[in-house]
Amino acid sequence: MAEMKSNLVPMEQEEDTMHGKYLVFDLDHQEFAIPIAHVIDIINLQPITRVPNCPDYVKGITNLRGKVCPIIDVRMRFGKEPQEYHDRTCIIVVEEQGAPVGMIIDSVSEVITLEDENVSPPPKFSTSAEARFIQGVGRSDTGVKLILDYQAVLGEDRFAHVEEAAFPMG
Amino acid sequence: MASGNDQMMEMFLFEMSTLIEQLDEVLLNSEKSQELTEDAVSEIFRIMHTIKGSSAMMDLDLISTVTHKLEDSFFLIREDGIDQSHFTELFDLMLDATDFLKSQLEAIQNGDELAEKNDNLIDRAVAFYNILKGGEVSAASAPATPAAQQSAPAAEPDLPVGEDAMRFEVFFEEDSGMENLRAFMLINTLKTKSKILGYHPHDIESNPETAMEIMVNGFTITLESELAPAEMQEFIEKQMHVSSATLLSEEDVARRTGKFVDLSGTRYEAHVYFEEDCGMENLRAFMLVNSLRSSCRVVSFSPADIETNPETALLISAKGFRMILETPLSQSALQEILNKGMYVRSAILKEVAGASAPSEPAAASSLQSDKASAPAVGPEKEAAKKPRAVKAPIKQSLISVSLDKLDQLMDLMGELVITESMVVRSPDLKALTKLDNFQKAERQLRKLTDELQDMVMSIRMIPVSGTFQKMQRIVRDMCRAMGKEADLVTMGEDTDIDKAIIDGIADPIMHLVRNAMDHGIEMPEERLAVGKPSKGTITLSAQNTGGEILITISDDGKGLDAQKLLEKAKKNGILTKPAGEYSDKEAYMLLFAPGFSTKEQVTEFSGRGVGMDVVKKNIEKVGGTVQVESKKGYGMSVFLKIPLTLAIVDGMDVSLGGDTYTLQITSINESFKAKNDQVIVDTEGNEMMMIRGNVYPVVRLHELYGVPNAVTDIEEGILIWVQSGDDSACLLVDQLIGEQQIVVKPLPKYLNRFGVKNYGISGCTILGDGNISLILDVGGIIDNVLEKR
Repeated sequence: MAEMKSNLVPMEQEEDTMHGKYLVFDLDHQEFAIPIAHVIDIINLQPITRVPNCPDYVKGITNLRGKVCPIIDVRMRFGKEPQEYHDRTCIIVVEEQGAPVGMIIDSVSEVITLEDENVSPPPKFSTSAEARFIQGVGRSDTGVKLILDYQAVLGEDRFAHVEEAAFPMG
Repeated sequence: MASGNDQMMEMFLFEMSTLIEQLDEVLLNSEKSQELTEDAVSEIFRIMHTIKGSSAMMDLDLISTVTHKLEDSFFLIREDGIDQSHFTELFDLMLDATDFLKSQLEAIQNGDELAEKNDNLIDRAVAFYNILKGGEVSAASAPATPAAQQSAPAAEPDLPVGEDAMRFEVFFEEDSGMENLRAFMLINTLKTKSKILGYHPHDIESNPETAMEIMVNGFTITLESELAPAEMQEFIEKQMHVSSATLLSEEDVARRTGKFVDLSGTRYEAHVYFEEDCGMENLRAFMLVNSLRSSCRVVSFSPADIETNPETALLISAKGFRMILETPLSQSALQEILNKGMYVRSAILKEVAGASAPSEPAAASSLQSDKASAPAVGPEKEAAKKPRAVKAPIKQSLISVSLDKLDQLMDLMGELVITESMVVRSPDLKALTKLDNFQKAERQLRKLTDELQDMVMSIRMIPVSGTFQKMQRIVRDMCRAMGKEADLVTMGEDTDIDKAIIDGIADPIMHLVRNAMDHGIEMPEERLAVGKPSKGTITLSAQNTGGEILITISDDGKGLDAQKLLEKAKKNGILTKPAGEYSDKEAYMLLFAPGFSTKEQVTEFSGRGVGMDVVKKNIEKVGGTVQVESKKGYGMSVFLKIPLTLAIVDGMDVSLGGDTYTLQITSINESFKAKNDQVIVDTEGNEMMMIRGNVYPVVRLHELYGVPNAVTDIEEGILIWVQSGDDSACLLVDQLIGEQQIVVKPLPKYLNRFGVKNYGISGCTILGDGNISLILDVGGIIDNVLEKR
């Protein structure tokens, strides 16, 4: 996506001002970051219509200003225990294949700048469930942030077994 | 820049495909009736000419060359007619040419390489032209044609007019209007390239009545130029609104004078009423008279003093306005012109007998005297052209709009419907009690949005005739290739269907027609042997049955043999239950099962066994259903039921565990409360309900969808008896919420991977309160449940 965008002149400028900027959010007492260029919206929790026969982490669909937007719970996507939503719970909306997709996270904290040299690849030995959704580790003044690979979070191919598990009826 | 080109190309493609469709139609009709009417010839000529011009403009040289050669032939045919003996060759040539054009268009659309050359076709066209010409040279002196000058220069006749002087006869496009001014402008343009020696009619600038003369007889220009005649001709033809330019030799001029149409034409009495509230009827009448002057001669009118006497207004509004008109146009064409007049409410046209005789003093206009000796080809011949004369003005009132814009309009309409219900069902209103004015305004708004919606829908509707027309060609080609005889009868071609749906059903219909030709209709000998006429009939009909369109494809061929179908299905291993348990109807539906083909050999046209299941899939994709009826030995019929439109439907909202789901009203038979003891349970624990003697499965939606907190007691909830095609079931839901119009939106792509659609959820809609409701697909739900049981 990012490479495609940079071919267009106005996008390039936008990309430039956004480059290195990350949105930091909280998930299960851990700080994650997502390149802000990919975020199209941050909304408060709003009514979600449940869609039957989807995996648990797919909470359903919501009305995002006239667009129908699927919502997933990142915490559950990571395989963690679900938690009650509260008034700081947020939905980060990103674009996937041209359509918006919302990700529920615990809370949004700040926007930071991470220079490229401060971003390193993820530790290979990590075996935790969320490791496969991490595309790098960023070091900033306020601590270490895990950079979320949102395409992996929304992706399917590599994790076909997750869906199989969700369809015991086959 | 690129987009400008694209747009032009888009226009070009659109225009081409329309023209080619028309061409196909004309050709097939002519071939069928084995006659080539004058209308047909000029129609084909016009189409060839237009294609030639536009393709040259788009730098599509090959298309332009091919059409040019064909145009030449039709030019000859138009001038001198054609012998019946050449028909087969002509139609084959032309149909091959349309095939070629279609393939080229397709290549352009797909961005494929275009053919570099098609010498075969061009050679055939040239050869055919020469055949025509050979026959023609002996009959009369060869007229100069565009082809004569380019492809066969040797045939160019001597010009007796002098070395440089040339005479052209120019016709303007049929609907260009104001021919005299067009001619004047043409003269002005030509002055830059040549010396104008003279033209006829000469008083074009001052006399609007010459417009009529030019329209009928053409405009003759004599000029001197350094350009070669062929170049000059091409130059003229490129000018605005010029439909054809012909180089005339002296003999032509002599010959042509004999062909001039008597301009005085027929005399009609017109009785015109103006719209009731237009006011100033006398002035309206005066303006009408003026506007008529370009197309006919106004002999007299009554009341006569409309210009000066305002009191005539009352008279006209009470008794109408009478005119005596004289025109070579057909009655229907004149009627059309009158009807199009401003503020005209109705116009009654009556032919006044005997008035058209050339000796009639009133008709002795200056134009008339020029060719008083001309035979009156007028009314009868024009009457024959009636259909075309009526068509031309209709065309002008049409515009073409890109489908994208219509889709956007539709989307906006959808948003509007949603927003409307957001406003009128706003929870804020619940706190208020006196809402009389609000409710009045709400009803008004509702009425307007309903009307607007109908209008938006109707814009997207196009008749199925285009799709049906294409089938004629398929039947013809298949008859030829297979040695069968069949007629395609179409009915209800003017039934309108949403454009998006038409695109979706064109292929299925084609498959079904091919299938009927290939598998249904027998060889002529076989048919005669069983006492049927040797020529089979395939009937293609469309009718609007309210919420749905019913398209029927039936043939009088050999019909389906349920036993054979079952054997075949067994062999292919696609039976899902013992063969004995299949009803005939179910056996017929095996035709549409994947991997089924009744014919032993695969033929060019059908029988690969992929066609028919694709038919069913495609029809289901647009929300339709397929049904088959057949009687062995008497043919079969396939019924396609297609919804009128996809986007906005009437829905019934139901609640289930706090969520809202929506059912299409058309799929609901009835809803009712049931007692627990009415429920029948079979040995496997499946619940069923008896309604009027039939047993239907009960589907607990909350179980199917795993909804928590839903009503589980049948006595507490409500049952909805739903139907899709032949399948029925009773759905258990918590309660009914209400009926409303919903805008169908597809589910987000992201959810496709979870196979949500397989669980009977076809889409979603945004409710008035901003929440989303899932649209239930009854067919999907029943399939799902039956599969599990």
